[in-house]
Amino acid sequence: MVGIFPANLPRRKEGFYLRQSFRRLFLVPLLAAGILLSGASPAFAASAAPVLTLAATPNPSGNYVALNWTNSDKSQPYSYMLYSKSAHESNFQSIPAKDSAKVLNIYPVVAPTVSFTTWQGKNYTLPKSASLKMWMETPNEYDSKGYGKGLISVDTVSISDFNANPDAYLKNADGSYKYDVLYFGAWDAFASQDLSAAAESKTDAFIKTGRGVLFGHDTMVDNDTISMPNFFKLAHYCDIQTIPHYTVLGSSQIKVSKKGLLTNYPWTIGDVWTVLNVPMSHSNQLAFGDVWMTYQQPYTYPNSAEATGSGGQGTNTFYLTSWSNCAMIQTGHSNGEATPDEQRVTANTLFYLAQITTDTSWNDHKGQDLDAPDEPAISGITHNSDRTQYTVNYSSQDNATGYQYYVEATGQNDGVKYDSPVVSASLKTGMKGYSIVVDNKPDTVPDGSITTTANSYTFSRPSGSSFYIHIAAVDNAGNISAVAHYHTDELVSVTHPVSISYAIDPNSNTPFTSPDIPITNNSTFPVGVSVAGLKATAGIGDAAPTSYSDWNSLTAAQTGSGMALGVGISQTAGSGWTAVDRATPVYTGDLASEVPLGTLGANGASGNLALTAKFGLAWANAKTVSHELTLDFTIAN
Amino acid sequence: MKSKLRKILAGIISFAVLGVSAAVPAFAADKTDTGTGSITGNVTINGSISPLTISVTHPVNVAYAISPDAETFTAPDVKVTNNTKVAVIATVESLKAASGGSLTFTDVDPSAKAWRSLNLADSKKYIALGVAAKGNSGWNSGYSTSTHWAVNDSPLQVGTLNPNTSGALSMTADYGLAFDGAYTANHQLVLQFQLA
Repeated sequence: MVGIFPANLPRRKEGFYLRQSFRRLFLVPLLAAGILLSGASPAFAASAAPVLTLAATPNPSGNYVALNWTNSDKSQPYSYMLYSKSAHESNFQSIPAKDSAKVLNIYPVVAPTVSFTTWQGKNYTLPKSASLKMWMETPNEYDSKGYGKGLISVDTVSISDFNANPDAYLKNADGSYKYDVLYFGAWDAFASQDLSAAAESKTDAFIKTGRGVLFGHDTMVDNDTISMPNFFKLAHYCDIQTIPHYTVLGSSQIKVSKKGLLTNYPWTIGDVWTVLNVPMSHSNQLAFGDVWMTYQQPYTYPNSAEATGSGGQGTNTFYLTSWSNCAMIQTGHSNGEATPDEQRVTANTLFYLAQITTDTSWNDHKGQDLDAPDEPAISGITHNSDRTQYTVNYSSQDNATGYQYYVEATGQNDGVKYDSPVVSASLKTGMKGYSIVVDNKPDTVPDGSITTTANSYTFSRPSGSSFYIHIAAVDNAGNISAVAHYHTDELVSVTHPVSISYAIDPNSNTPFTSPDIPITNNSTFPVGVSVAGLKATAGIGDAAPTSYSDWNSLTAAQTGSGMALGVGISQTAGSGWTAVDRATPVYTGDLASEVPLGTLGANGASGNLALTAKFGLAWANAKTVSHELTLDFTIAN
Repeated sequence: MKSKLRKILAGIISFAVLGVSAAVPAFAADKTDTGTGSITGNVTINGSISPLTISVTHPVNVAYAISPDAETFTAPDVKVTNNTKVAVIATVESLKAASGGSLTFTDVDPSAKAWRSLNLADSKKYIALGVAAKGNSGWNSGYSTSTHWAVNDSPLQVGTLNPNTSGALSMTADYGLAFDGAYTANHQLVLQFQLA
C-alpha cells in the first residue's frame, strides 16, 4: 500500500501522509479481519489495494494538459484533488479541477448597501461588504456575465449568521458541501467581526477537504493593535505569520510578481511586472507562500514599512498570496470599493481556489506553456547594392514547460485517501513567429505582436548612419523570448591627408622620394579601400608604366610629356591592413573601373598607401606637377 | 696658338639649386571624411622635379701649328666626353679670333682668298679656321658633317653624345704662307651642351 504514494510529497501535507498511511494500514487489517470472520472471501482478496491511475496528455493548441484518471475502487464515491508542480517549482500544490466555482461570501455586517441586477436578471440589495456577488455576476463593459464570466456563482451569508450555525450554510441536507470556495470579505478590519470558535472549526474542516478559502483584508491578523484570533488560527493554511507589532505597507497600485493560472484564467491579468490599479489597501502580516502580487513602490499608504520574518524569510509587501487551496487578498480596506483590475484578480483567485471535483478528468489550464522560446540567434544580415533594403536572418526554437501530476482520491464514505503515481507531461505550444522592431534605440523591446513567421525579415533601412534590430521570438502561448539586439553601424569615417608632396631629383641615385599616404579607419567596422581615380592635373601628362622599356634613356621631350604615377598598399606587416586585394600599384591606365586595394581593420586601424613612379631623367628645368588621387572607402562585407 | 672652349651652364646650375630646396616631401593637413555606407576621399599629389645636371669634360685649350714651308696645318682633336645621365646635344655656338697672341687674325671664309698668293701682310692678317665633328669618334648617327667656319655667326649643332660617351671635334684651316717669323694667335671656341 505504501508503495503507491508519490515520492514527492507536498511540503504541507507530510503530516497528512503519515496520518493517511497509518489510517490505511490500520483500516486494511480491520477490513481483512471482517472478511475473514464472514468467511466469504480469502484474506488475500480483501487486501487488494485500490489502483488510482493518472494520464497527463499535453494539448499544445489549447495550451493545457488534459488529465484523466481512473479509480479501481467502485465500492464508494470519491472526490479528487489534483496536485501539480512545474519544472520551475520545488513543491507540489493543489490545482483547480473544475470548470466552474460556487462561492459562499461570508461578509461582515455593515450598514451601507449596494443594489444590482445579475446577468441572470435577478435583483439584489446587499450590504456593501457583500459586493462580491455584484462583482462576479453583474454585466459590465468587459463581459456580459460579469467578472465571473458565468463561471463563478456567489451566495452570501453574514458572518453573524455563519458563526451561529456554519454547517447550515456550508452543507446540503445530505452532509455534502455546497461550495467550492469560501470568501471572507470584505470590509476594513472586517468590521471587527471574528469567526466564532465553531465557525473556525467548520472552516478548518472545509479546508481539509481540499476546498478553497479566500480570506479578505484584516481577517488573518493578530498583533498588538488589531487581532482576529479565530481567523488567525487558519492563517497557517495560507502560510501567513503575524508581525507582532502593528506594521502596515500599502498602495493603490500593485504589480504581478508570479505568473500562472491565477494570472491567466479566466482573465488575462498580465505578465510579471504588470502594474494594476486597486483601491487603497495595505498588508498587516507576513506571507511565506506564493506571492502573486505585491504593492508597487512608492508605498503611498501612510507609515508603510517593509518587514520580513526571521532570517529574511517572508514579506509584508504582498497584496495577494496563496498556499495550496487557501489565499489571502487585501481587498476590503476601502470598504467595498473595487477597481476592474481588482475584480478580475478576485475572479481569477476564486477560480484558482476551486479545487475539489468528483469528475475523473480535467483540462489543466494551469499547466500552460510558460517557457519562452530561446533568444533568437541572428545568423547574418545582408543588403541590396545601394543599402536601402536589409534582410536579417535568425532562428529560435520554442521551449517546453514540464509538469508533474498526481491525483489524490478521498473516499466520500470512509474518508480514506490515496494517491496516484506521479506522471509527467511536457507542454510546448510551438513557435508562433517573431516580433521585430528596427529603430535607432539600443534597448527596444518588441511588444510581442507577430511581425513575421519566417526566419528572415526584410526591411527598409531607417534614416541615420546606424540602426538597431530587435528580435523576440513568440510561441503560441504568447511567451516572449529574451530580445536579440543587433547594431548596424554604417557611419564610414576615414582620415587621410589632403595632399602630399613627392620629389624627383634626377641627379640622385634614388631620384623618387615620397612619403606614404596614411589612412586611418575611424569606423566601427572594416573598410574596403579602392582607387577610383588617379590622373595628372597640372604640369605633365599620364603615361603607362610600360610606355618605355628604359625610362632612363628618355629625351627631354619624352621626359616632359608624361610620367607613370602609381599607388598601392605599403607594407602590411604590423599595419592595419587586414586584407590585400592587389599587391601591385594601380596606374591611371588600370582605372577603367574602380580598383580595390585592400581592407583596413575597424576602430582606428591605420595603413599606408605608397606612391611609385616611372619617369624620365632629362629634366632641363625645375618643374612642379600635380595629380589627383580619388579613393573610395566602403563598408567591408 | 691656343684655342679656348667654354660651355654655358650658369642657368642650369641655378635651376639645380632651386630643385634641391623644393625636394623635401611633406604632408599637408589631414582630413576626415564621413558618410554612410561608402564615401570618397581626394588626395592631391604634388611633385617637385629638379633639373638634371649636365656634365661634359673637354680640354681647356688646344694648340694648332702652321708650317708655311711644309704647307701644313696640324691640330689635335678636341675630345668631348658626356658624363650626363642622358644624351646631350653639342653645338658650336661660336669660333672667333681673339686677342692675346702676337697676331690677331681676321676670320674670313676659306673661299675669300687665294691663300697661296697672299703677301706677308695678308698672310699675317687673314685665316679661315673651322671646326667639325670627327667621323666615327662617338657621335650618334645623324651628326653634322658640316664645318663651322669662324667667319660664320650662326651656331652649328654638331651632334648628340650618349651618356658616358666621347666624341671628337677636328680643326681645319686655310691660311697664307708669307710669315716672316714665328707668331702666335688665339681663337675662342664656344660650345653649348643641352639635354637631348
